[in-house]
Amino acid sequence: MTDHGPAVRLSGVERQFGDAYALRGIDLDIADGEFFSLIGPSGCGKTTTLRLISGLDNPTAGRVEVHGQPMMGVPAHKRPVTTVFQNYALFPHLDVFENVAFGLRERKVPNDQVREKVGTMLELVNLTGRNAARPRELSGGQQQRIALARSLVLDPEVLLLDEPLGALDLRLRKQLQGLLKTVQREVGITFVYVTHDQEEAFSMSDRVAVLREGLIEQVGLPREIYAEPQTAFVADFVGGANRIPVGITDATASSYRVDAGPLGSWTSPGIAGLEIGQPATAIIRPEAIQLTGGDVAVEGRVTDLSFVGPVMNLTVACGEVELRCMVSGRTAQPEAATQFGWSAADSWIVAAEADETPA
Amino acid sequence: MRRPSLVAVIAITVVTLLYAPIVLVIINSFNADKLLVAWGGFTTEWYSEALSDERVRNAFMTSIKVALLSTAFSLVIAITAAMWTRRALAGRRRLFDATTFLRIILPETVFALGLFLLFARYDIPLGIPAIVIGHVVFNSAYATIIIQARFSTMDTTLESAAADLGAPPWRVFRRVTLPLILPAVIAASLLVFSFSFDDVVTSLFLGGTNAETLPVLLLGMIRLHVTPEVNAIGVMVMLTTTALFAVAAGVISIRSAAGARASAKQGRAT
Repeated sequence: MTDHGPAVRLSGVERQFGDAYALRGIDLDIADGEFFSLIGPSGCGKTTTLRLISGLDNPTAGRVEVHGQPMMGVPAHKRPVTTVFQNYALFPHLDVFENVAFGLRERKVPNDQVREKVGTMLELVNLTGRNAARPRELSGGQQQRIALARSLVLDPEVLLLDEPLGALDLRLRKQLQGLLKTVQREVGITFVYVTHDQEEAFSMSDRVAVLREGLIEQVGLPREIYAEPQTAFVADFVGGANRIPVGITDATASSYRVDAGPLGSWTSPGIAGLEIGQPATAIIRPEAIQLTGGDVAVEGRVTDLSFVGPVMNLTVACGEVELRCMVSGRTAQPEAATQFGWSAADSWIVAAEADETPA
Repeated sequence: MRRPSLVAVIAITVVTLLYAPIVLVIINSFNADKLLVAWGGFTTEWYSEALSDERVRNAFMTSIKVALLSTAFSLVIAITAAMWTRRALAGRRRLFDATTFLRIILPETVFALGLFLLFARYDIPLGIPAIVIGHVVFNSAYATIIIQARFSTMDTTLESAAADLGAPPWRVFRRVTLPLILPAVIAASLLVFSFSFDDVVTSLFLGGTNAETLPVLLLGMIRLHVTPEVNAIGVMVMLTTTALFAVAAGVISIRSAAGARASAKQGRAT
């Protein structure tokens, strides 16, 4: 492995399909040994990004580097990168052993070493004793583990994973998330992970990038992205935030005074660089809203409620504004008048999206 | 006893009409009566006569050569074409598909005549190569359609995966694409081999005086009168094609049962 730069560097990467852009200019450094996730709604360009790194597709502009090596003109089969595909893409005409050995055969690795490497790898993914089985005889979870072993056995510099758990049920997902994390720690290879599931990305990743319509909206630690989203879109995508249109009435170095009409006004932190009078959005997480009130207290009523186990999801309304909230333990009645509120420090101010108007 | 239904009667009649001629050919090939007007006793004389007839042997070999060559060329063209159509733009693909269908729809007589005139115009000699070209015209079209049908059921993800795992394009084809389309390739070979083997029109137009295939020879022989030898030749042709299909069917089922082993060995061998 060379050490001349980050594991993956994308500079000004664009991918155009006819008149449409899949990527509009991505700049991104992924550090060596990092578990990095790309998240975003479908069509945001996350799979395209992976294909450009793997060499299965080429950018129409910009550069892709792996450990400082430019990848321009290097075909997929010569790149030190392997991919775990969304639907596994196991070879149906080969058994488990030969699926995992596929890349080693291309490298003309001697037979005894192939046996050893494949054996070690299948142990690592907890799938032994099924060497002679065909992929279709195995469950989805087992197939996914073979796909992982097949890519890892080549000891790539970077492993790309394209929604690898997308087709599995929740329990299996949780189980394989744990396995992926363990394997990554054990082999120390850089993982670039694509998913539309922010929870999955947050629980496994060192850093996360949120993509939107071919652009990176924000890159950071999972905690940063959740607590300090740079845009309303990010806030919304990573956890269904309430977005309240507000006007900024005062600004200091670290906080803003905002006015939300009938919901009152309060002071809370937000992104840097907002100006007085600029349309803005206050982000309030559902779990930050309490029915006992807070710094900001509002009179409203319950318009919808559903019980989801440990917590109850409510929709509360005050005039035109509806807010989702998550409360534990309390009973609430539909259509009942209620007081609700939040702590001013729990809200976060970002610039308004183009389609939002200030209150 | 239950009365047979109308459907059963029709079915039996149709099947009888379809197969009676074949049965008749088989029976008559063992008929000792030279004029074939009545059963003259059992004999294998016609077979030994046919087999010792040099013209028959030559025609048989010509047919085999033509069928093998045209099958091989047709498959190469069909696989290449089908792989191109997977990635082609929709408009170009439609245009190409039209040329494929035309080769099947147009009367064989028309392009056999066309090729004949073309060859005559440029002094290209008639014979085995000419017949092979003629057969490839329609055989490659049939093979293309069969292999395209197979490709339409698979996407390119598996091939992408193979490339991603380090296989250069030719190895992707050998280790992934070809094994996956093999059943279609075998089916296509059988079909076009037999089309070539019993073709009369093209072989007649393009054979000239140098090359005579078995069906063309048979046609010539029955023009004079139907001899018992013709029946014997017919039966032997039938046996050849049936055996071919049986072998191929066996190969397919063995492959699907032990395909992993075979492919694995292929991988190990390289």
